[in-house]
Amino acid sequence: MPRREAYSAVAVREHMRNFFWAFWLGWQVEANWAHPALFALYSVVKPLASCLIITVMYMVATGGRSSRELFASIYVGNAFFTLVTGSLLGLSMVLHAEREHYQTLKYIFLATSNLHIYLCGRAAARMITSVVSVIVMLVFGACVLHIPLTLAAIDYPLLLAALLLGLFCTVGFGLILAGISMKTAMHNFFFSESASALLFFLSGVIFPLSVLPQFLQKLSLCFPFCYWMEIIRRAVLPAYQSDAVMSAFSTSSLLCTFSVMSMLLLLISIFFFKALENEMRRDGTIDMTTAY
Amino acid sequence: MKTVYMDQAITAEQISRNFRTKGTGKSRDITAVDDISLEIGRGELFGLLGPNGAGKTTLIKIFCTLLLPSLGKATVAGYDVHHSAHAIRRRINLVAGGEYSGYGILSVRENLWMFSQFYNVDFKTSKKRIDELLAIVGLEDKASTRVNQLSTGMKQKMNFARGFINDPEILFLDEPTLGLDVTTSRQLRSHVRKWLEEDRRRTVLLTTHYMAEADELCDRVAIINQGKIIACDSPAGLKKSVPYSSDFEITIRSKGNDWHDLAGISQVASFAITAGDAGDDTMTFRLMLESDRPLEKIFATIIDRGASIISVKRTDPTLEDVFISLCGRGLDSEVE
Amino acid sequence: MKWSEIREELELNARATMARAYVRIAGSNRELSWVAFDIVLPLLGVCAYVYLYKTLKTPPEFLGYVILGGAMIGIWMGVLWGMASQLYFERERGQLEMILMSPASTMSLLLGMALGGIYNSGLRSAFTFAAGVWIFKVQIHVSSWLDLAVTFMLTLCALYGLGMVGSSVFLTFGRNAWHISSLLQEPVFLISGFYFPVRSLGAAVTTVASLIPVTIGLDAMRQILFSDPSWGFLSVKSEMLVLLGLSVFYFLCARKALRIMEEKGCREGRLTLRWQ
Repeated sequence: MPRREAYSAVAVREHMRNFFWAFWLGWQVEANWAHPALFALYSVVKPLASCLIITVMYMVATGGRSSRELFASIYVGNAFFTLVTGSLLGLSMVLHAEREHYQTLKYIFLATSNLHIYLCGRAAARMITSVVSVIVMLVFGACVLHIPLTLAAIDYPLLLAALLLGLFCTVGFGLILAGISMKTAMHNFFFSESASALLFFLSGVIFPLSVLPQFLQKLSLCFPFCYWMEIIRRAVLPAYQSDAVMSAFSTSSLLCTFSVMSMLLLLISIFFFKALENEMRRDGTIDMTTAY
Repeated sequence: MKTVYMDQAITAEQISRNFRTKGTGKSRDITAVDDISLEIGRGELFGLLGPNGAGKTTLIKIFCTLLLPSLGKATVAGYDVHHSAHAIRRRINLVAGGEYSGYGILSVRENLWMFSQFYNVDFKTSKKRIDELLAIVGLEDKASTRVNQLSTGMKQKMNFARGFINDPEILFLDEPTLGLDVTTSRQLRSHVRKWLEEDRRRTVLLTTHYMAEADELCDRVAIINQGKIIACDSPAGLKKSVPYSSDFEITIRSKGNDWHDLAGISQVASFAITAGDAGDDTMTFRLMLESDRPLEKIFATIIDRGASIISVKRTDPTLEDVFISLCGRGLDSEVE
Repeated sequence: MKWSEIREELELNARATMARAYVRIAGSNRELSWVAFDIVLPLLGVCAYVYLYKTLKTPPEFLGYVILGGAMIGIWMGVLWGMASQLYFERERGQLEMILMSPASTMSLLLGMALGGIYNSGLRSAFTFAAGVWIFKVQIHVSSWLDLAVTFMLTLCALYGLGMVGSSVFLTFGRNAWHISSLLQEPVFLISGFYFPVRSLGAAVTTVASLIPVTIGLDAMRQILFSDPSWGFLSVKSEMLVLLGLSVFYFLCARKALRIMEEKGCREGRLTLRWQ
């Protein structure tokens, strides 16, 4: 085998190995703290409570008399957004935890050839539990709340495309947050939740973008997640009606725009993270502890 | 003559401590401290010497009220560790080696000040004491530096200073010079000695596996192994228990002589040729003597045979030799 | 105990509280990224729920309810993560043994953390409320400023008492308790009615939820701030009495629980055992 190809093959194998062991470590950290039954409860109760907040708000506000389609779009948006919050939490908190809690960050830096791969592996465990949460929420919504969700009516290719591109987008955003977390002090534990709030607001997760003021609508369209939300809703809800803002986009244009923005975000995040990593090495602050 | 007050600073009466450990397989029971009894008088600098995993830190944690004994009773400053933890905590402090001991984002001075407040030290005294301690440990110019910018040794120095912040009656030093360079370790040991001598009611319990540290500092040393105290005496007393008093390495210039008969001289515990042999110009041999008495005969024999002495090196038994003679292995060996 | 001993004890605990509060405040001011992540961005999360109500065309007072609920989230998160889990994280950082070995009581240290934490969470809550009211032009009609201040203080006291009870649980149950705290975020947001009047959950659920002081506190503050008892669970005065009772109850529980848990930790050797 020519040398360049051999090196590439070796590099790929090494990255895959890195990813696998980082995933194993992430799973050990995330999942071995409790009896499996308690862990299952934890995986179910948290997302259900999140759904029920939206449901109760809807019922209190409308007495159940408002459009069921509107409720369905809000519910589905909220459910799928769990993937984003879970992934962001997984990606962004790893470095704080390694640095402050386990104090192993400098060893991770030395051991791994590619920190991005390590972070993605570590976060993968939390991403998987997020997927379980989404499924729980959708099943609950369909069976108990009578959301019009049917397996036969789902546009699977569209959904799969959305999830795959969404993964790149989330990883990109997560890496940016991870880079910021490397530079900042650990003030508390909800750093990523705060960042998720930005996306929660600007992505039309629980309300149509058309209720926002004009300037905020334009700002939302600069963030890729609003396209993602729209694609998910179109894929999953057969009777879904887009709002005034998103109805201007056809499904294919949504996919194109989202693809381009996701790839761009991912590229920017990799460079951003690398730049911050180099800065940390220059300043000698990789293993600084800051918690108080 | 050193004054030791007869009221006991620390007592332990048949204390044991068991743990149940859980690994990836079955859980198992470990006895970390096994039926230990000892008394440490006020004014003493008492050493606890033993290999890794011997039970030194567990014992210290019991005395510091961080861990309850599974069996037995212990008192510190006359108070029971089980029922009077609050009274004990007012009177003690702990310096442990190899640990992170401050908030990284705060400065050295702020960290020390915070701990002083936990001991109800008033502001004026706290400021004065912090300044003095920083000077002693050599961190005066780092007082305003954030802890996360200090080296490991400096963090340990800060940790050391923290141990004295409340001027405790009883100070527990759990491997306090871990991670420190030779000069700093020496300075800190000297400070501990001086601090103790300033007030004879102060007591120090030092755990270490550096035998030179125990030898230099301690009035009495207990050797602990696998949770049990196997010997307890002054360093000199412990060394006397070793079957030989000194170890001599003698290098001579000689040819064609057989020196093995030196082993037969009375009070020569052992003899070994460590370099050269009968056909060489120079030879080195090692003799362990039960006392200094055979030395005259040994030198006389060497000279009578026409050999000349190039060098004589004497090594007295160390606490490690004591440990080996008691346990059959070194201080650096792990407990299995 | 003699008077001089009592005075010395009070002085010791006051110093410890102050020192620990200083650590929180000084630490916050050393690096200001929390201003963006703890104050500005969370406002957007609250705004999202406001826009949900706008989409559903609810009466205008509901926007105020959400904004107040969103403001109180800062306080609740401060209790959950800044207090309840703090001893656990001190242990993970290897600090706990030095802290517990000092004669200062654990409660005074936790109080110090709470008071220091109020700097961040108080700022967050105040900003969220003020910004939310201003942005969405919410009409406020305070029926009694004194009642509002007293209710807020009682809610804080009861919450901090609960936080202290929580910290003793964390000390003993390690990472289980960490995840249980995480588990308690959304369910508490639900049953305490952070985003809607808690009465809509029914009397039975609301009664149980009242064990969490923020449920009753939020309900009372909504009634006072918007002069509208129609969505209230109990009268304001009754709710203030409940909060007073909860404050006393949780502080007494905390005192007992911390003692029991510390002894349990000492007996089982978990007090200084990291990464359980």
